Amino acid sequence: MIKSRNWIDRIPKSLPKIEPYLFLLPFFITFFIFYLWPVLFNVIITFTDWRGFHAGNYIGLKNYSELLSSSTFRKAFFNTFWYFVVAGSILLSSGFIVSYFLNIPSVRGKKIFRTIYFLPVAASPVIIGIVFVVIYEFRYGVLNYILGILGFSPVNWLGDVKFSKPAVTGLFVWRMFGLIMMYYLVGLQGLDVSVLEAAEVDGANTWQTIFYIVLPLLRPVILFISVVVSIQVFQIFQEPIVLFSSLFLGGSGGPQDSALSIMQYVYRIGFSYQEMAKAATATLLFMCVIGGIAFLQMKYLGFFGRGR
Amino acid sequence: MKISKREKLPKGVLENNRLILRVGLYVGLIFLALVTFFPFLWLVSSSLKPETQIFIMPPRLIPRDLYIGNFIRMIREYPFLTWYFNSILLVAMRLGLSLFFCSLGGFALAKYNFPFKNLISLLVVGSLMIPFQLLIIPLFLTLYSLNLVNTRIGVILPWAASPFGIFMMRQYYISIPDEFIDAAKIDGATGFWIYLHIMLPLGKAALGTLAVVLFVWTWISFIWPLVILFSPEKYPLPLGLTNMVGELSVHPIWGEILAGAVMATFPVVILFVFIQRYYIRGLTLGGLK
Repeated sequence: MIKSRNWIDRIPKSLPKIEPYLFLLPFFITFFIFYLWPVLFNVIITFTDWRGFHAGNYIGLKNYSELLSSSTFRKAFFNTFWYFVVAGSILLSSGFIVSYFLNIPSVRGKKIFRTIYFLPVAASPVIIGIVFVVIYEFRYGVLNYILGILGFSPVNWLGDVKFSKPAVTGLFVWRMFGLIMMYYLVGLQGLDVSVLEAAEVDGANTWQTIFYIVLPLLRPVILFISVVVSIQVFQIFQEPIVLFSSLFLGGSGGPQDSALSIMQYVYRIGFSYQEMAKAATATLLFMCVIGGIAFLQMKYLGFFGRGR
Repeated sequence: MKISKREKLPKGVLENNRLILRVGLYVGLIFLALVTFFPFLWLVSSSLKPETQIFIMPPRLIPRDLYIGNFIRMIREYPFLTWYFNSILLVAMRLGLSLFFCSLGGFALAKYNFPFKNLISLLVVGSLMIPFQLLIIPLFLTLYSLNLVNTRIGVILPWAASPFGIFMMRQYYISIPDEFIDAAKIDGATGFWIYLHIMLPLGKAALGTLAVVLFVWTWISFIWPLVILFSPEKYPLPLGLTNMVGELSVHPIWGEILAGAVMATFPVVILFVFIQRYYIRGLTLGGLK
């Protein structure tokens, strides 16, 4: 293109080049104001005693040391990690098994099953959580009634330290299962049939096909799903709130905070105790953990080079 | 749905196996379906019982007589309709802003070449990875300094130009042939004209998909509205109902809450049966491929 010296000549020609930036302007604005700046601000205030609306003083690493020695923080951290391991493994394995079955051509009623499994995605977890409270209820809940018929003694799902985390996990898995299964299904349908047929011709049995062909081929999908699951698990917040707030005035972390999630902890110290800097520190520490876990997932599920 | 037309795993387990396996499989699938569906069922059943019969032993799935007093009291005595209206308003605002911003941004990333395009694409995808709910403290402080705390626009604005939506629209627009645009350019059309008259009509399906995804996300969103809204008259449904749950230890209002939960959940869940496939396509476009 010939460069014009006269700037008036240049305007009409250069205008289209501004267009894409103009079209992306809403993204730029929100990116800087609502994404980038909060991330940076979050890092900065961790070194101060900022309490929200007054200027904070630099206090070095005091927030960090106080948090790491706080037993509630450690508890919330442990609980969230517990959710990550338990809910994560349930979702990743059951999602695969069910989607594998639903992908077998001769299985009937697939569409109905898929539709039903996927319904919880559209239901608000807090609102459905309300009916879970009714179901989990100790003396009159349906769950204990069914357990009783099967010969088990009733379980105090919401009041017992040992069962509060499983209760939260139940609600969480219930609402996430359909989504995870659907991701697997999309992945399974993207597989190259000829490879699978070749395996069959070579005499591989079903287990060999699953473990040596299907699962390795699904690796990118599994990676994606496990990142989605971990991000969701680390945001567990509404489930404990709705399950426990009807029983424990003010405290929504379950009996002795045994179900308290990290998200709840951040909300509690940030907004109830107004210790915003400390809450931001907890966030930052936890983001590092999420980042680390995502990195490990990527490493072991082969995001960096190797193969495909 | 694309899924049902392209089933292509090898015959595997079932074809060369016994009847028992097949029966076991259906029992398993039906059991799972029951578990998934049961809370919805129990919700409706409990909402139709008077307060004294919600917690009884043995539990009854079919109420002795259908009682609609819970629904009437929920609507008359609580600001339920206000919460409903707020939820609809939030969804409408979200859709209005996001559909426009995302399709525009997606168009720019799909059909233009410009400096730093790759970097910007990377920022869009990168922002997808950050769980923003975790940043509630600084986000709240940012909105506080913008004077947007306790406003509806404050609930919507941080996610208006959603990176997910931009990325999704980009994925779709890329598949629209350039010839359409070139022809219009020869006729002297501006970029915005092309967006309005070519990209929007051709991308209607993707836009509808994005609308479904954002509708569901906004309808069920909880954490951010909880942080940013203080006045109960601005609460959307999930917040309002959770607030009532907090009162349970003082007043036994289970019936009203459950009736509210039915009215808040069922219209959307039933609608979702019909629009599910758009939601799934949206996740596929925006996530996996």
